[in-house]
Amino acid sequence: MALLEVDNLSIGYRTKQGYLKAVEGVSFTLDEGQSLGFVGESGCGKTTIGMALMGLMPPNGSVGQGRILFEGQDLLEMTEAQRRETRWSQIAMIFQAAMNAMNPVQRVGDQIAEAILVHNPAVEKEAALHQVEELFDLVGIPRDRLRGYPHQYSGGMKQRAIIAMALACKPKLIIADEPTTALDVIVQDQILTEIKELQKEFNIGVIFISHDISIVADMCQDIAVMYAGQMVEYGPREAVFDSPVHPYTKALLSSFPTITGEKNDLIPIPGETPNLIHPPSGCRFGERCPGVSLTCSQAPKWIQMGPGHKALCCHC
Amino acid sequence: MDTNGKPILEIRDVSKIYKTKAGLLAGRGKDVVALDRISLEINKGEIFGLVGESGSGKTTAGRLIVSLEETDFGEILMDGQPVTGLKGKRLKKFRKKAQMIFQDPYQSLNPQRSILDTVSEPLSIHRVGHTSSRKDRVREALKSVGLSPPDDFLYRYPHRLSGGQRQRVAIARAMILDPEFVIADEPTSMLDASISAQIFNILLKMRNELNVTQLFITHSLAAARYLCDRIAVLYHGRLMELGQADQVIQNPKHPYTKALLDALPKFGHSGDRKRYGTLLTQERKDAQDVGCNFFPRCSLAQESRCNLEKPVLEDSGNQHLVACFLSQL
Repeated sequence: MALLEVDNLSIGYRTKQGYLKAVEGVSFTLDEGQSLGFVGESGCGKTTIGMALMGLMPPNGSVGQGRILFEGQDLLEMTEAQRRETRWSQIAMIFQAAMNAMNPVQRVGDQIAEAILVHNPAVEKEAALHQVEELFDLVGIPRDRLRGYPHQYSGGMKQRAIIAMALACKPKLIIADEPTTALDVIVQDQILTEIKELQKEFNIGVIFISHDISIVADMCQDIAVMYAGQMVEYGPREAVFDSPVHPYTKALLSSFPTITGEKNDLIPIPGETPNLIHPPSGCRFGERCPGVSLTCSQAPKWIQMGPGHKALCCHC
Repeated sequence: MDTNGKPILEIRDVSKIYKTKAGLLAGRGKDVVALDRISLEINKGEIFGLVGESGSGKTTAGRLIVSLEETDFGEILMDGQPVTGLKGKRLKKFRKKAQMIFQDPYQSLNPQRSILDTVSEPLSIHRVGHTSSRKDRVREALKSVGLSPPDDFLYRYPHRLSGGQRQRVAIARAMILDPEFVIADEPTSMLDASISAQIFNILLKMRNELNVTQLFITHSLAAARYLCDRIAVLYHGRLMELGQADQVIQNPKHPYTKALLDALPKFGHSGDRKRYGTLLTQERKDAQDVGCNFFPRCSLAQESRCNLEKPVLEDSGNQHLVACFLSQL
């Protein structure tokens, strides 16, 4: 049984202008200890997927259809109380804003201990704090910082504390949404290396969300490319990164400047992302696609490109 | 690429120190040295990259050059004229020559002004033309940054534009007085990659078609490689390395530059990229203020020299400058 199985998930937001179809028909599976990366630009739906997995949708968001099976159980069928139990103890999240979401007037060590105590009421506070010390060792925060407050932590250290909190209840799945975007390159590399090591050591499934395809390729065995709420390409990182099939994936790869190799022209993608309140009926990338043709006014289908590698395109 | 060869901007031994006041609970105020004796020259028609992480002083450097702040030591000259200490009419004249584009497109445009008002403002401040000719100039400026047809944008307000579109408006505004020198401070760090690519191409166009000299401030070595002729690497307020962009990136000499390159995600290019291994996992505890800024994290550093003195930029051959005792061996 897969650790996580998402089946035809559609999510939308009620807005003043209408119902915004943020995620449309997304399906994927994740096995224990496996890593899957979601890459795409603003508004593609990747963060919405992460929030839905955690059950942290904002009040105006709702799942229109689909199932989220975690260890065989549909999270969407659970009560809020049941979801609260899975949150942090089974599925934890590391996200960009987390650095600033910590309680500023509570010591960091205490906040993480609290996360442990909430899910393990039989544990004593002393024991919980001891576990936090070990977590700090794991993520590379000096133990003497346990009694510090968030404002006394640097950006990198705060993010490490967030990772410690995510690991506190030994979850089976971690969702990391742009965990290093606000950090300097060197700190980012250290944090990402740590996440990789911890994932291997504890066999944690990881869903990694980022706009930066090279980070995702570095961190994850499989990559899912998102555009305008839909998954447009999916496959092992070697396939997607080195032999992209979908025109959007190709375009996305060509918009990142590189350090090595030929210095090719950066080719921006003309036009803008489609309106998701009234999305186009055919291919959502059609109006910006260099290879667009009449067939693209039909809804595209999945085309299998190789083992585990597929693209949502009318004529790839 | 012909850079005309002459320096348009000279930064000579510039330092900037921020004094922090002693707080109620903190001890005495501690000075923050944002820039420590920086010297460099930017040639006419080149795009010069200033690369550094947060706290490197790169944004401070930009602000000093456009006279948004004053230097504490040293001088900055543009076209041979001092930039520091400018006031009144002379400052206004200077603003026609040197403009800045900021990082946050959501903060840099006045939300209560239409695009037409925002982009024509510099024209009215400098009393260039009159209402109808200004509108035409704004149209041209908007077209040149790819906001076409311009009439679709003139009467819109910023909240109806995307981040990328706002940044293009900011560029149009910076360019409307035909400046000689433009500083772009992390102009794309808040934008998606495909939008950033549009902005980079506009900056290249400005140089190629209008010969506008540019200082591109960034934390991204990849972006610097794409855009810049020469780059300088800044660390904790000091220049560590300076040279042709491709040289510095393919053949880095400073341990910090090497550490930056090592830190970049490697997938897909691991065959090409060397692993330099110059960064210590644990910082040294015995670092002294008088020593090299990078000493605490440098795996190659030697106590006998690196912790006692700060190295200065020296030419290691081919105009590739490095501030490191070890690279000079």
